Amino acid sequence: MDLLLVGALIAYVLAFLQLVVSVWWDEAGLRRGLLLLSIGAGLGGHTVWLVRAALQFGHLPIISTQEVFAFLAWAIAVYYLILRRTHRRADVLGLFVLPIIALFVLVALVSTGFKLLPEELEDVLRMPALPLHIGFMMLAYAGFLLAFLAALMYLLQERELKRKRLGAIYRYFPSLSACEALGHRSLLFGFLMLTLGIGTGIILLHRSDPIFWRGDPIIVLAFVTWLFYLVVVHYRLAAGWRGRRAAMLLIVGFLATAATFVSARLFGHIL
Amino acid sequence: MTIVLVGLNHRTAPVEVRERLAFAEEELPQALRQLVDGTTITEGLILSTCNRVEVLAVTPRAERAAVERIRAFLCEWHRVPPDAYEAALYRYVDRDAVRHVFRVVASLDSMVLGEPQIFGQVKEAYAQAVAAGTVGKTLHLLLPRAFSVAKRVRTETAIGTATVSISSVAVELARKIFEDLEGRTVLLIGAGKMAELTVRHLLAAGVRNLLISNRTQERAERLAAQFPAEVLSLEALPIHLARADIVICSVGGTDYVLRREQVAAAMPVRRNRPLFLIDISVPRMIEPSAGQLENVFLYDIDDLEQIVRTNLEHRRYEAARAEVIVDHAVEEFMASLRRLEVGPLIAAFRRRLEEIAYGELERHRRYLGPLTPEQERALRHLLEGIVNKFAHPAIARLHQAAREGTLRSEELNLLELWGDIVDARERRSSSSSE
Repeated sequence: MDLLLVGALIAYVLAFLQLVVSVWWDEAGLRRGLLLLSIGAGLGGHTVWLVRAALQFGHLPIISTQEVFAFLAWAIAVYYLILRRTHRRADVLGLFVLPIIALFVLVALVSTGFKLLPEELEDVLRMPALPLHIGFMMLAYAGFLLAFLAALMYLLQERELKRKRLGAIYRYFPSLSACEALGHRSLLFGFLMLTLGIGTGIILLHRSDPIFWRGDPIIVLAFVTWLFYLVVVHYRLAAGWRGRRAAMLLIVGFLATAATFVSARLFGHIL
Repeated sequence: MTIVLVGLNHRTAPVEVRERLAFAEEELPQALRQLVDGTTITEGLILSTCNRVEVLAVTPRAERAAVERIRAFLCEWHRVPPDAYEAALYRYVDRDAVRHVFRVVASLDSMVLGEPQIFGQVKEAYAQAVAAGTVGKTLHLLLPRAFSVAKRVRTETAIGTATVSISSVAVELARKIFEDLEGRTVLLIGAGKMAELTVRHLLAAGVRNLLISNRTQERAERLAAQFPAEVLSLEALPIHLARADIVICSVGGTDYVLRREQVAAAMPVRRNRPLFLIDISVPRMIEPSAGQLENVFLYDIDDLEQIVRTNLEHRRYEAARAEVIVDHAVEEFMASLRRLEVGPLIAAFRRRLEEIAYGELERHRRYLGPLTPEQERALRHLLEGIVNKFAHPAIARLHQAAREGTLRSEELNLLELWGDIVDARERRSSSSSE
């Protein structure tokens, strides 16, 4: 079973190397198809692995550290492919995204499969709303991660343009407006997924034992994250916030989300 | 066979001289046929561009005769007195000529290092010479090799990548800010030459809307007649600033035409979309501190020139790498050229030996009496065997010398020992390729 993950890891690493070569030689057009093939192969093996794990346990593979990282990497790969289809300059994001995907798969491979969740949650795991909730949340994280990376590229490119010292970043990174568009698209996608994820989460809370969830800081944090992104989305759409400050907000937002996620795992709850 | 090149370029001759000696495209066939006389010059090619006039030729004679012939041809054809442009002309022979051709085609000898046009120009000159029938096996070996060297230089070094003019740098910067220039609006303040050139570049890159504002209205109107543009007065500038994505400022005066507050005021109206300000006026006419505003990118003439200098520096660095590729290719080419030359030499050598052997056979045949076919065959085998065994060490050394590129005097002495085995012509050509 792990062979599938190893294969996926190799495919992702290969895709990354292809991307480095094509960015370096500035012939992205020539290798786009090949790149898609590698990522597609990785994602294929990855998906089969997840499905087999789900069939084996009778529920979604989100319990052990291994499974969570594998699932997260999968969601990021899926969203990266979606973004590549809709935006031609998304390729370069792969310079950051593909190593992260590969790293997560690697973590999944080396980490032991101990359970982080208490046994009482078995009931929750069998609830039909759970796969949806988890899927939405993972895709939301993937969206925010890519928004974060696009914002990072924006800031680096902007710094180079402001300083008027044009180096490698200027040459190889996409234009400011492309970074901006990638960040914006990813933000909207992430926000939509987060909204759906929180919606399905509420249904789950409602159906499970209320004593178990009461006063959980994670739920509060999730709502704070959601409100934060709501404000960001609103100002971007209504007031035309863009550029440097908007990029910083995307970075802060992602770090908050990552904190929520990590603490959720530490305290042993599903998000 | 010796390769000779005589010519002049932008470094050795001013434009008045270059245009005096240039060839029009339609006179090339006739000129080529006049140049190649079949005795002194057996193959020829003429490259005539605005930066260089070069005659590349192959001669079986001594190089001096060929150089003289080409110089005389240039003067006759252009009806200029002999020696008129003596100082401007350079001449290269054999290895140096090959290196020069490789460097020219790879754009290492160009005025703008790495510019791509020269490749097509040489290709055209080659096609012309082929059509005129003045290309033989030496040039058929040399030119295709030069093209493949140039392609290698292009793919293995970054010599042609960085932009090296103010206006193209401005367009490239605009692309790094806006990605797509399609549908962007350019505001031109003033009507200088450089600004006009930049506007042309931007229009070619897809910019559709142009606003022109100038102190003297009629100057702006005149520019507006050339491009589809809207003319604004200088006073209306702050109002229209918010519409522009790219501002090119090239205007004279003593006071800033755009102040920081004016730019700052325009930004919320633009919903903070980036604004690219290019100030190529000296003294600067856009308040420099406007560049500190968020989403505003201000480049003045010094910034742009600095980028051009860095890019040129980059090209020179890449050119040094290209020279290594060229050096290597020259050695390879000289080796294949020698292989091409040593073949006929060896054939002549063997032919002569066989002539001597069979000559002796015929001379003594009458003492042999009638021979059976078997005896005849045996005699021929005997003679061939002796010739081969005698010739083998010399031929082996010639092959080796061709491989290593060293025809040492001992080898030549060895050949000379055999009397006039090789005729004087071939001996000279092999000694000049030494």
